Amino acid sequence: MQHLSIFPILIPLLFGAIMLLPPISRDINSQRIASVVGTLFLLISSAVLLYTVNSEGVQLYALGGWQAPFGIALVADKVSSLMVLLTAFLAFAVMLYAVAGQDKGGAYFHPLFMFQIMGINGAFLTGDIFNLFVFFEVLLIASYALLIHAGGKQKTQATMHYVILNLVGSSLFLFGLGILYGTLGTLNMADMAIKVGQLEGETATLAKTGALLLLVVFGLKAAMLPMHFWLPKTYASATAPVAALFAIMTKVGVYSIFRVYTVLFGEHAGELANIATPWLWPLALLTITIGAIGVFASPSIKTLSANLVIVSSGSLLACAAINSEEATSAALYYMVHSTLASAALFLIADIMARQRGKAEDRFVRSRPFVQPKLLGFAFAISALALVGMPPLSGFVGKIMILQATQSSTQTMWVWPLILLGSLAALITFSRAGTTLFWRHNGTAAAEAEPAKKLEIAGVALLLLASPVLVIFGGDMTTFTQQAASYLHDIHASAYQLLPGAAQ
Amino acid sequence: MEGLYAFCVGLLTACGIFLALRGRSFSVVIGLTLLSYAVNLFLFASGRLKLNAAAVLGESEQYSDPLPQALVLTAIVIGFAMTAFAVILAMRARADLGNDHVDGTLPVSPADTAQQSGGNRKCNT
Amino acid sequence: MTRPLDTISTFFTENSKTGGGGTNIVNVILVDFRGFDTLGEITVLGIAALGIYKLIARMRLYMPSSDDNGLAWSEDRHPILLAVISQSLLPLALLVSAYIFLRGHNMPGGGFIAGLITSVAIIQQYVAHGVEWIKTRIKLDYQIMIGSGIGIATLSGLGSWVFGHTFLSSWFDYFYLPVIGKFELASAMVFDLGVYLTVVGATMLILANLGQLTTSERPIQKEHD
Repeated sequence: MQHLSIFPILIPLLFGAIMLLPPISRDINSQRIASVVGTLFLLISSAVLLYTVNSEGVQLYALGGWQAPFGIALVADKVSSLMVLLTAFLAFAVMLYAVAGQDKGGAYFHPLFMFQIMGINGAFLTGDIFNLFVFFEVLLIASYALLIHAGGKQKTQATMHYVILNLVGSSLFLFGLGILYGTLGTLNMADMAIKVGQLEGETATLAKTGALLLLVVFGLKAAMLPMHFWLPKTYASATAPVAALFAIMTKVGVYSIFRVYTVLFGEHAGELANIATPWLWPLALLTITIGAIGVFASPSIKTLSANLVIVSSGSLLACAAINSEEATSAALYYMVHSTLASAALFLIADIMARQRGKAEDRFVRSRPFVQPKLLGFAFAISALALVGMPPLSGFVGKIMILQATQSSTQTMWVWPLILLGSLAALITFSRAGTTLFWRHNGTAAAEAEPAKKLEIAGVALLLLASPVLVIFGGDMTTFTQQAASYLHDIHASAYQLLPGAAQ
Repeated sequence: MEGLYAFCVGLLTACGIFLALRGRSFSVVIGLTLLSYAVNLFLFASGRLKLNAAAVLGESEQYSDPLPQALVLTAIVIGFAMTAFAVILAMRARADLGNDHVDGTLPVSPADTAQQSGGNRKCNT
Repeated sequence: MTRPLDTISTFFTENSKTGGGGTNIVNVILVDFRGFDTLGEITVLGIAALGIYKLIARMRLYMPSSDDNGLAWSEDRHPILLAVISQSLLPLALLVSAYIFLRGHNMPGGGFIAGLITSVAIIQQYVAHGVEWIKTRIKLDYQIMIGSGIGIATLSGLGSWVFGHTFLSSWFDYFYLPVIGKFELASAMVFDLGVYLTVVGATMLILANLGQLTTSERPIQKEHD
């Protein structure tokens, strides 16, 4: 179908707008139904999109009928449609969890959730760098509003830091964008990729400044080292479904880094070839280190999962730094795995926190759980996946990253750090599990409510993804391999997208 | 013209960054606003500066680059929305946390250390 | 930034009239060539308004009982002069905003500016008469305005699917009516209407609630903190 590639943006947008209108806006139950139906539609259309891209090749959608590079084009290639499907799946599972009761606590949860998904999908699909900025802002402003959902001092404080940082980030994005437009004269990323190779001398230096400014912005979103400190507090204080949805937000940053620095400033870019690599290397490795230290030091599960997000961001950035097809393929696999697994852990942490009374999710002796078996099982699966133990997807993902290192120097740096990160996670998880499940006193709190069926369904969906990713690991890796080689083949990924431009 | 323009943008950016690094949410919001002004001017200039070249067909001999102008309009609106949100968030933080420091707590240092550090934390500790 | 530059903008200059149907290139870029950006932009504005409403909803900030010098506030909250003048200004302002809205495609103007003018006019009423007075007279639900604005803008884009074009493809033609003469209709105007509604809804939702915030007096028992 011709319009397929815009569906992932339009569906949440329309559902979001409808939920602001009566009669749906007055009644939370109809909003819930609309949300679940909306995310389900989204899931179906994303799956169809992925299937179409896989069988028919890249889908190019020129908005307003204006061909690239003049108009805005949506590019649904294998990479972006995989990310869109990931978002849709995550959104559906998280929405199932949220409709069980976490969506109350404040107005407009459902429309904001929809707009947030729209922003994320838009950022994945767009082929235009200014449009990327616009969708970044859509997803950011929706995330600000979702972050304060259900209120509380901690949230206000965390949101304050998050908002200020990201506002500065947006300014930097525009500075970088202005410099790039001023030197390249175009906004379409494929067109930029072609023109960037022709730059030389002072103009190239200017464009380099702009490009590195963008790296700062994407690094901020991806929680790259000097800009990672906002993440643990923000994620740990957010309401559980929001935190789980945020698991994909750092991936938007990483995805943009892959898009911009492999396609735009890749090997063909003349004087500007691979400009980000010297920066990415140390920062990625340090991000893993800091994340691992944070994992060790975490006092509660929510902080632990937030720090694990930093570790996985660091691993993904290391893949971007290796800058090869294998590494990109590994990164894509690992991205899918880590998003779903950490989202599941955020949700599990929330259920646990509600059953332990005042101790919440902190690692202290407290009352036993109402549903120890169920929670223990879920916790064990997510821990196995996140640590990277066989037989779950974390193991496959980490193996793929380790195999992607090329030279001995790379191996020397990447292997120990990733393995040490896993060890840190393993130790912390075992300590946490011991405390949470075995060190308790008294009886289960009478007022603690067991997890609702929909909540369990949401968590189960997310956890189920991990074994499925292993069982269909062969197909999955073939797919990520193809996606990666497409991304690295500039002739396929740039020239093909510009039917309007003279080559 | 370009030199003066560049100087102004630079000055706005410098002021914006200075204010954004301060401790009180009010000055931070003002700093972010200045920064967004600077960035809008900068973006506007990325299409080169021209005199007497309005981007309306039939109004002048030559046209300035219309695209950055359109981008700036979009950026201004987004900046407006973001600034409005930041202002209200700062008010909310004031209401929830009882002070207007961006960290939510006033620095523990008593008045004498505040004076040593240049006085920017002096106001009623 | 003084180097000569070859940009994609020449395409916009050449196609603005023939392809987009307007002589104001910037506005044609906003509603046509890059209309998708504008759709994102009004979404941002709408979300910001919702977020701000969410923030204000449970906020407790009270109006100080006196100003910095310890003087009590004036009893006359709504001066009669302001009230009368702003009331008579309202229809004029609405007319100006309609004019700006209509001429947007060819001259400086457009849905966004028109929306701001309308909001300023309504805000003026709030300032002059107070929230309570307005509440009994203007029964607009700003949340519905935002929702329908975004909805209309999206649907105007979807309309082009019926004719087999891609999302947000624009259409325009010239018509003749007796008395009025030649005029132009463009699908971009429907899109602009969506922009207009969202802008009015969002700014009003933000500002009206912000104004409401400080009209409540601090409860006596809370005086000590």
